[in-house]
Amino acid sequence: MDDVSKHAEARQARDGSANAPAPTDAELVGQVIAGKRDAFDELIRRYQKLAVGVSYRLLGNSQDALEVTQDAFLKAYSSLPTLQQHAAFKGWLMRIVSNLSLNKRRGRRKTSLLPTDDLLTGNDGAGQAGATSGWMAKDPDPGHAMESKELGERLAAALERLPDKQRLALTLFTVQELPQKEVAEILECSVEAVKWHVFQARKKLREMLKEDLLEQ
Amino acid sequence: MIDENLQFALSQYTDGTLAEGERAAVEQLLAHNAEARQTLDEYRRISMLLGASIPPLPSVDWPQLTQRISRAIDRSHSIPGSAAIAAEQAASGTYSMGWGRRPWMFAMAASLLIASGIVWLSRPQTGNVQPTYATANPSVVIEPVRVAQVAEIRVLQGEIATGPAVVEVSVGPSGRVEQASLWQLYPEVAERPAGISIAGGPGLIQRDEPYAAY
Repeated sequence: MDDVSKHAEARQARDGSANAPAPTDAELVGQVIAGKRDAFDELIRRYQKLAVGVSYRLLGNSQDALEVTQDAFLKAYSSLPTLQQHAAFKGWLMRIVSNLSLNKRRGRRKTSLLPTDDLLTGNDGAGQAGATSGWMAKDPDPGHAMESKELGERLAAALERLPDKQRLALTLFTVQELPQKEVAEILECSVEAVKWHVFQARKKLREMLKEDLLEQ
Repeated sequence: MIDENLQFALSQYTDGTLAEGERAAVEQLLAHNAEARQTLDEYRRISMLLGASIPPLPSVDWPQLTQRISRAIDRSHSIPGSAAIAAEQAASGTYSMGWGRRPWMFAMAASLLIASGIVWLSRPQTGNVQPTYATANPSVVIEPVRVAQVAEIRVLQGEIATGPAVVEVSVGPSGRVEQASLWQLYPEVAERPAGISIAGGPGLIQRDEPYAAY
């Protein structure tokens, strides 16, 4: 063992941080309310990626998703004393993110779940630069890609016509792949209701895209 | 047309959220029901389309986003001594002079600045620019007061008006003389002009004071 490792180990033993369990959400929330401002930064680190992901799935625009995420954390910080169950922070935060995303969506009245230009640079997905959508990028056949792009646009338009709860349930569960229990917390309903909302959304999309699905 | 309960079950089957017994029942039905198979296939394609219609998130500098959100919170809640703000100041090369820690000092300084501005703007005119408060009767004195666009007229000796009362008032920096036959508007001016304040813009009377007994 080299000197650096020994020093690090000694420091951890002294600080008692070697095997210290990470604080729970409830503990962090309690600390923030008690005045420990830095504890909220840990909550930001813990949930910013999920918040951006949820907002991005709902808005289809990364810049808007980042703005909504910041606003959501600001609102959460201000309203933290009103959170009765500290352990429910995650669902509560995602509910704020969803509501702000829906408000932004209503505000801009712009229907696009397809990617915008700002997503085309610095993509996590390698080899997608230059593609006009993730959908196209996954299809190497140009002819098929064109059809797929049009279908993707029709799907986005159809999604827009769904009631908010159905669209949220379907998007969060099917696209964002959140567990149904978490979707239920966000939507403030039961897991059974989430299943019903997903089913209703699917059923309506099937009706709206009937011809497209038959052509496939 | 398959009923809604079966469609609901097929939706859950697509998601893999059916209980064991229900799943077996649905699989048994699918083996003999072409319409159910068609519905299931379309549900699956919808899920696939949804998953493919949105590309993965572009790369985000997560530590920077944390810092940005943290700074926004500190700003909106006036937490100037926070680590996030300190980091921002260090990065930008700016340093606090202590004002941020004492908002009352900043407020006092701002108030003094505003008060100084008001005093300077309402200072009496000096030098060649003199207010033109001229009267034909030397017993009538019009005294300028140190409030913009207000003059007070006092009559030192009572007299009986022999004609219309004319007051020449110079208002504003242009020195333009406005004439007003005040008695036509306010006969009391000619009859018992004990004191009157003329306030407002050129030729405009906005307010007159209660008159003293003549």
